[in-house]
Amino acid sequence: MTIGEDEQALIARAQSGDLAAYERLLEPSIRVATRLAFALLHDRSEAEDAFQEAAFRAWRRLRNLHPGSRFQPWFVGIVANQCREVRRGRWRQLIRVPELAVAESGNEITTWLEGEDLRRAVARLPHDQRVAVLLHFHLDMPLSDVATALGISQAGVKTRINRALKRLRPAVASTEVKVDG
Amino acid sequence: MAEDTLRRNLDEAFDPGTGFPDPLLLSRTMSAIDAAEPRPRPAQGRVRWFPGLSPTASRLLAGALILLILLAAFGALLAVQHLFPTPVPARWSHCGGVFECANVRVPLDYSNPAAGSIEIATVRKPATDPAQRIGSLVLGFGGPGVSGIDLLRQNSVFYGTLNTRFDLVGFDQRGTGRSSPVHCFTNSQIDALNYVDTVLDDPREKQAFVNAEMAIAQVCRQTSGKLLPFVDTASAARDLDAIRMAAGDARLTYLGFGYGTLLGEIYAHLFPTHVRAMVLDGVFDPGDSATDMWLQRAAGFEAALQSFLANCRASATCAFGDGGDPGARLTALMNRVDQNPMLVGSRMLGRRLAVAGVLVGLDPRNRNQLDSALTDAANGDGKSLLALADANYGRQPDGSYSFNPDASTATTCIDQPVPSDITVYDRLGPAMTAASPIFGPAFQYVPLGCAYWPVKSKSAVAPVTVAGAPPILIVGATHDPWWPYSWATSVNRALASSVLLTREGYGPLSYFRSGCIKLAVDSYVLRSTLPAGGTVCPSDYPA
Repeated sequence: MTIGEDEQALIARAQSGDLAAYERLLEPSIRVATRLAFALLHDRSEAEDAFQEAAFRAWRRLRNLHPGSRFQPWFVGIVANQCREVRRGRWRQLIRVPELAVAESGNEITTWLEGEDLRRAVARLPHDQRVAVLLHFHLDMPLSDVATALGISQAGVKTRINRALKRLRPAVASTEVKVDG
Repeated sequence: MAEDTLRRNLDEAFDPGTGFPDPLLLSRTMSAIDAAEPRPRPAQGRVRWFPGLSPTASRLLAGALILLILLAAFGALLAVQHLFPTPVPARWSHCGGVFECANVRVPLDYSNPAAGSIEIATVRKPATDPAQRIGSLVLGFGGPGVSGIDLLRQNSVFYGTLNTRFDLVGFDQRGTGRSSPVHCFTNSQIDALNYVDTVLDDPREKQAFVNAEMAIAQVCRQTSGKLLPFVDTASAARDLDAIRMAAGDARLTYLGFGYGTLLGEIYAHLFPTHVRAMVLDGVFDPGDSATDMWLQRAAGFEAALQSFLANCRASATCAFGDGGDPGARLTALMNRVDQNPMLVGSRMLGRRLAVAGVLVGLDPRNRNQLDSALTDAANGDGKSLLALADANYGRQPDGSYSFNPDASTATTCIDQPVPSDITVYDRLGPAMTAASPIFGPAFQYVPLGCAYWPVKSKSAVAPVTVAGAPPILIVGATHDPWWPYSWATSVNRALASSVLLTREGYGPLSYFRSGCIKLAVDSYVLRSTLPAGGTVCPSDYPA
């Protein structure tokens, strides 16, 4: 995929402190980033908070984005990491206040009856596998971009997706799905 | 295809539902970054005090100006005023990320400038393509009582196209926000006032309403009395001219919404030759009396309600239609909350708030929410309907208000004359009820509050006329309940060489509800290209 000159110009402007340029960079990534966050966190407002936090972190680290790199896959990787931290925080919260967790799961059952098996299976996947499956199949991101987001090679992405698919099969369909490679 | 099945199943399993993400998420995020991390502004956006002059000439002029300011500090104020009878470009300073702020000093009383001055707080977001910059676009968000500064900070993303070539400028109209606000009540007192029913169907309620309105007037006289005579929209229009000069523009480019259109109309009347381009979306008609205005709004909301009810009756997914005819259920619900306000936590949902919730819910974008809010309320849970009412009054979850009702009353009362005899309002009853059994009686006595106001309006009920201004673009929607279409047509007749652009559909204002309208408005603002007279645009979504 060729890298748009406009995006590179915007990145350069944003790196020099132009917040308006940063806003224009973020805008095309809102949908992918918030949907990934929602799929990882299962909560709309937590997903929006994660987006905001990731946008803040990305702004701070923008100078780490190498020349010629594309913004979206890099930013989506930050969103995924942010969501992982939120999930870890939840685990600690679960230990401290177990009664709250019980009440919340009760609500989830009534709201999310459809697709519950799939959600559980995805939730049980290791982080990298979960993000890879969601980005590639749910959010239609090319494997090369998924690799950038996860900071691994494209072959590594394929391996993770194929491992993940085996664990999703009972919840998905009886036919084989395999990513080449 | 197995892969397609996986994609479909994932899409279904992880569907976040409608309205996600919040359309304001990006602007909220940018504001948060702004607030957390003020930093130097990039070089290309530097404030140019004297556009068109070389840097050397600019520096010399700036030096001369500083000298003059020093002279003023030593008592040569009058001399400076003779040299510069109009304000010089303002000093804009960074106030969070891309935004810059400036205070524009204006006379409190334009008929007596020596009597003191106030500051009008303004904010601007510089053009994103500085090389192609045309000038400033001043946005008038109306209200009255809203903070134009907060609204611009939160919503600037919606004006992205115009922002490429215009600095977006917002301001707090005199009496609101950070511009010498009229401030009479605490948040909890505003809560208490909003419990007072406006449907005066028994003597006790009538007395309670009159007492509340008199108390509001008395408290505001005590707390903000010195300001009250000067928060009229005509003074605000003169402030707008000062903002234009402070922004360094030879002529004004203005986009006004709702009550902000009155500001535009009066500005164009006072300063026709200072107008470059003006768009008035959701037009206020000063030729209509206050009582007739509310009668028309009652009729407009009734039409929106009937459309909602008809859709509900015809739709299998409308939950409020499940337990009987939705119209009858709504009437029963209103009677119920009137007799026994519903407890929602520590708050109460009475009829006034229930009606306010329905007003917000009838916006085509909120109708699904209205359906579930009414269904919940009919089942004894008023939380969602109260949340819609809170949106009407700008009440935040922490109990504060983003909308200043004191400022709104102060400006409305000085702008618009009202009958002071309560029997005039009593006699409106049959017409109001005929217009709308729910909204008519709720609106019938709204203007009465101004009858007790400490400052009487000196304005007449008459259309504003404009001569010598370039064509003004008027935008009206056929079923806008807040800003009826008939006002757009009558203002179109009153303003010489104005052009009317029409949106077919419900909901207040049009710029955000129709790509066709947005395109026409943007084209006019950017290139002064007017749409053909009589152009009609569809709405973007079922409306």
